[in-house]
Amino acid sequence: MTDSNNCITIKGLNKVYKNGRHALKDVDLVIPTGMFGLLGPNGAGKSTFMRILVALMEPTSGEINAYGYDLLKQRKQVRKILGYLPQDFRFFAKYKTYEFLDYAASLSGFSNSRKRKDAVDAMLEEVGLFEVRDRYASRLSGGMKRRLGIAQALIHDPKVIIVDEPTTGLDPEERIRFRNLLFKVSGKDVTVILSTHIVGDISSTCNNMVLLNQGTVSFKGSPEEILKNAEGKVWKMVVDDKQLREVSNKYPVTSTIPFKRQWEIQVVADEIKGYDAESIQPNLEHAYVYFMENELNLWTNH
Amino acid sequence: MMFFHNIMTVAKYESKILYRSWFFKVFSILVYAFIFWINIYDLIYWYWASTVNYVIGANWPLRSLIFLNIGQSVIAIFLASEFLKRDKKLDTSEVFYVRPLSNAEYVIGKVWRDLRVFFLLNIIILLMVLIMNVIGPANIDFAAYVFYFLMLSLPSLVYIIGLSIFLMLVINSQAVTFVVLLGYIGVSAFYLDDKVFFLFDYMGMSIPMMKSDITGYSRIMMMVNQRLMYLLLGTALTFFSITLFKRLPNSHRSVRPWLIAGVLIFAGAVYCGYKHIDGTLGLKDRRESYIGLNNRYVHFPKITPENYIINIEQLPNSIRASVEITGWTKKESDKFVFVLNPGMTINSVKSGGGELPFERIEHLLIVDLGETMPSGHRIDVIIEYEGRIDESICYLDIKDEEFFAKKSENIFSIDKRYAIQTPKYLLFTPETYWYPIPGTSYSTISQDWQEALFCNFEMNVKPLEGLLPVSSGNMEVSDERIYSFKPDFPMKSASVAIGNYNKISVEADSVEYSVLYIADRDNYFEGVFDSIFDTIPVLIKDQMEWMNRTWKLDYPFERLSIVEVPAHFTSYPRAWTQAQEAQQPEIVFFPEAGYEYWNGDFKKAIQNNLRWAKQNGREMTEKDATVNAFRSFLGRFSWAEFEGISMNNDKIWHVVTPNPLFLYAQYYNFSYNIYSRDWTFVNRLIESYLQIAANDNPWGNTWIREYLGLTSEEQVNHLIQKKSFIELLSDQEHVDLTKALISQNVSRLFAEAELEYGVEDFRDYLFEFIKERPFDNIIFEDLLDSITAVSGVEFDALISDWNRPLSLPSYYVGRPIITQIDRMGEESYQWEMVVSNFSDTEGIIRMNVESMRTQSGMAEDNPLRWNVRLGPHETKRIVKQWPESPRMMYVNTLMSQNIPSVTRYTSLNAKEPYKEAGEYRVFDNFLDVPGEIVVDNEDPLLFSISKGAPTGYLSKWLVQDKYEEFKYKGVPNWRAPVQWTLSANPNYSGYVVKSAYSIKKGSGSQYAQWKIPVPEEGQYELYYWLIKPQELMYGRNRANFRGSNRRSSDSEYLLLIDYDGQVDEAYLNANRADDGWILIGVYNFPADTVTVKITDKTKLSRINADAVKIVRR
Repeated sequence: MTDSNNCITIKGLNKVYKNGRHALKDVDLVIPTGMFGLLGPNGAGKSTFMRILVALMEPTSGEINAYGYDLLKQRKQVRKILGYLPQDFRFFAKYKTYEFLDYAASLSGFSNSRKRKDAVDAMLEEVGLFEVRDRYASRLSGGMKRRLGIAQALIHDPKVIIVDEPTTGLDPEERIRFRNLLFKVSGKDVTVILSTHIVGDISSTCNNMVLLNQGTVSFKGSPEEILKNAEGKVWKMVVDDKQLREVSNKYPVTSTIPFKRQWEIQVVADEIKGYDAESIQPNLEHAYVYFMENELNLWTNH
Repeated sequence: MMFFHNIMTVAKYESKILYRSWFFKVFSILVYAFIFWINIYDLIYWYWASTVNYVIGANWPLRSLIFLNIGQSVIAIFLASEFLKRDKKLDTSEVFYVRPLSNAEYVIGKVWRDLRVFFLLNIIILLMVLIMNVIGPANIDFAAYVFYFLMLSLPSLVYIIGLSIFLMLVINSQAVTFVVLLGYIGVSAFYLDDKVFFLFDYMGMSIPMMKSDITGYSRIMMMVNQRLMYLLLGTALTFFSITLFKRLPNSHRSVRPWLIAGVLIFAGAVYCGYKHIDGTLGLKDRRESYIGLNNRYVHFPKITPENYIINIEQLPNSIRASVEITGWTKKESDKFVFVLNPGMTINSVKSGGGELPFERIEHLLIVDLGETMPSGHRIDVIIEYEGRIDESICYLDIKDEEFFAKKSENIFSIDKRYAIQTPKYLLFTPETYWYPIPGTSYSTISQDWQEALFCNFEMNVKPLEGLLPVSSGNMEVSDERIYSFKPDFPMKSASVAIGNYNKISVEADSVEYSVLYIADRDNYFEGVFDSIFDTIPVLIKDQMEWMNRTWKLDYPFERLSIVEVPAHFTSYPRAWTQAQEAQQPEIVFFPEAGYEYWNGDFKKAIQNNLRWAKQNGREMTEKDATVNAFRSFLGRFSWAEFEGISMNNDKIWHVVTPNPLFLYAQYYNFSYNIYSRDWTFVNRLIESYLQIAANDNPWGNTWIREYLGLTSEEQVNHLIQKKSFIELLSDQEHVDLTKALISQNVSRLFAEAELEYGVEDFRDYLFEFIKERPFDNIIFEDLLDSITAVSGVEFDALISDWNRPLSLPSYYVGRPIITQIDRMGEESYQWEMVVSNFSDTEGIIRMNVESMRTQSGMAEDNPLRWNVRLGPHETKRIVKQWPESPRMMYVNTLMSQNIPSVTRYTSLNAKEPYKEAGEYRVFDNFLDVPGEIVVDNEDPLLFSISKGAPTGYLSKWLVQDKYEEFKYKGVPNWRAPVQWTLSANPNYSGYVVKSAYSIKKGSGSQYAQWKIPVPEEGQYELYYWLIKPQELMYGRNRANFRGSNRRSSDSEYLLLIDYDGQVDEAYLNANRADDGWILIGVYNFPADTVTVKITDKTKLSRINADAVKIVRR
């Protein structure tokens, strides 16, 4: 098997909507196996990119090869190896939990009903929904719904799993549980594309990532690479109300915590003048802000 | 395999949603409940059930399926289009879109989801219906359950689901799609319905599917073709939907095969549609072509037939026949024309032992005798032929609208068949031209085609094994199973029915009465009449005597057979005869199992009699009930027509349905023949006159005026001033007026003869004349000559009037005055009346007086019924004296402008007697009362009404008034019109026309006003002609108006009297007054115009504006 049969290759991908909006511009990417993070502000083109990848939308131009299949010509084959969890996954038809999963499994090629039943039960166990298998899906909690979402995306052992903003709205416990589930899956020689605007999701799971901005790839590499750029550029300081307003006008502020009637703030900047600032180790969130401010000049505190 | 797996998966899971939806649950429960109800109702309250619902076994499932199909065809559009909307609304649906299933699998899966849900519903319903079928009175027809499911539910659902999804994808809005589809359903069900022979009937609610238990389904291929068209259309639209489905296909080319398949299937549907249209239009064209040929050959030489010998052999799907016709040449020629059904192939034409050359042109046969025959030469021709009857030749005279119109009973649509030819059953009536008849069939340019004269018939029939033929005349059977019919009377035409008949006969008064019913199935009267079998001859005799007495004619035959025929057999009423094809000499074709009649099921009729007796506290034995049921069955043959009013969506129309079983045809049409070379309808004219003469009811159906504005006779009087009698007779739009048109014209034709000869004497004379000539071909002109001879009346002018619109007289009909006279102890009654002719046209009116007792008490020279002639502007006072008081009287103005055309008087006044009986000339201005001025609503100068509120175009279009051409409208008592509406009523004021305007109560914006020219200043009494509103006379409201706590203003009208620069208000309390002139008050009017105005502001239901008058004090 060549490399192209073991990864997703995207060349010159463009999407122009009917209203003239250029949502994706000349995107070239190779997405290997493992967790792959897709980061970017709202409107950066993440969802468009994802919908093209899951064959729900046709690109205006470009080529996509997924595990040896041309996505534009061999959709059926691509759909066979694809698992997808959309960003909005809340409203269900009147299906019970196991019926929803069984329906998805059956459409993914499980024609043998006994095997399908076993697979469905196993998957429900894995995502911790077996106990509520007879409950109508619409009556599950937000986290449970999201787990059912990932269950349907994984039920047929896909090669490519695409999850769009999966942790939005989840409580921290569910979010961690979800991340772990994805991470576990990504170890099975598959590609997991995780689109998110929650930087923490990527830092804890992804080996590779891209940063999309206004339809173009602004950064591609590992989270470590983007972190390196921000080293020595993150500052912690304690300020009063007046100073906070001044600092906010000058630098990107990433954290504001009340501290003894003052504020302990974190600022991303090459250097800080006129204030008593302490340099700290950057995290991916800082790196993202630094990248947005310095490379793209896009950051705003307001 | 995955293809079907995916489809089944989609269908399986999508149907779960459907079963769980409240919408579907509610629909299903309603459907189950409704179907259960209509079936259980027929089981429990079977005595209320329509006979047609159960006497034909297949109707039991058909009825439920028609209702179910209407429901599911509507609901399916909601369900089918709902899924696309749901896909959009539910964000979780996208995860199924990214599965490897194809668009085709998804769309077909969804369609199959809907279908299987509905199929399950159908199966449950049919099982429920079947259970009740087993319990109930109907025969069980298992095959019909499957057949109707495949014919009704399957194509309707596939089509409407396909159409809904397709439109949803094209329009992309569920709301708009619903509106479009519901509109389409409405238009197809209520407007397109039976257009182009049910082409647009996708629900199958109108296409004639009713089965006959005798001959099965009718025109099954046509039905299957139409249903197949919808099945294919639905499939094609589903395939097109696959290509339109808004999800990226698995590959660019994957939708192409579906598009190609869709186009091909669509082409198949178009072909089915074309075949259907071609069949209908082809039939129309053929009918036109036959008429065209008839027109070409109608004057071609023909023979006058005298004898027919018909030999016919029934073959499984055809007949073989040899017919010998003997007759006389009408004019010199070597070639003669005959008409024979176009489905028959001529094998040979022979005469005198040798074969003759012939030419067959469609349905015509031109026989070449080889030499010129002089006029009046006797000819004998034998024509041998075989084939199958082609019904396209039948009823060429019936207009297409009626010919192609739907025939239905209850909710069942029934195919119309004019001939039936199956291996089990055969029915040919003369209309099919199943044997050669000299001349042509229906022609639009000449009446020559219609010369039907009495001839002698002999018929030999060889039926298929196990079947029995039925025809007129005595039947004998030979060893070779050849049945011979030799009627001992001449006939105008012959018919034959062949079937597995059982015969039951009784004899009464030397007449053999038989019922022939189809044997090989449960029949509906076997054993029913066993208990009264001995009484039946007496009952029949009573009924026949009643008919003889009522119709003043005698039953002319020795036999009368009631022959059961398949439900599809249909006959049409005609203008020129009351006899329909459903009757032949000695034979009445009775519809299968009496399905058309509410108490056609005798068992039900007997039980109903018992039930009613019990309800009324009467004791009735089962035998009495059986006798009543049998009497009611016999009564079915004695009424001429059903006449009624049909109302729907504010549209009102007159429905006249002639009774095909009306036995008068046997008494008159098959025994007497009055014909004219110039006029086809003269037999009907005389027939109509004899019916009037036997049973004169001058009042007629005056109740029709309340609904339609005018009675049928008044409508005829109105129309005849614009169109000639002949034009009107062929006017399909006024076909409901045929009877009135004929009777009004024949009354006019003989009015003068009645005047000269005496009404009763003339009628007796005519009866005698006819009765002396049974089975004779009486020439109409000879009849008129004989009347001229006895009465001195010439008819030429009257007959030439048939071709032109008439100028009609108008009369004033005064009130009769009765005076009791005591002459030396001998009591008598004097009657007098003033009648006047206001017009320039002379006219004759008829007086009908009814006495308390029989006519015997009346003086001979003062008959109870007589005609009065009134010259132009002539006024007469007519005086009669009788030994007893007249009870009631009618003045029939015959053909006149008068509305009402018949005036009835029931209350009479007393006055000083005249010295002698006679006619007294009255001065011309007898109506003018000195000092009195009347202004009526008929006065266009002095009376006016306010303009009504505008009506929208839509409501105008929806409420198209068939009776728009008539000035006077129907104003039912219970519903006041929203605009000022002119109607006529004998209680209204007026001389020639008694009319008034009416309007519903309102805000006061609508008014009517009368301008009264006051000739000289003085004190005047002002009167208003009041027509009391209905609620003050009848109904529960009347009590309210009488209650002591009612305010008088609740029953008041406000009048405004404008005179001398001031406006006085006057209140008219309608509750305290009666119909007629009501004194409003006394006023000092100047010599000027006084205006009296009434507005619509009242608490009473309506305002009537008729007339006002002033009387000088």
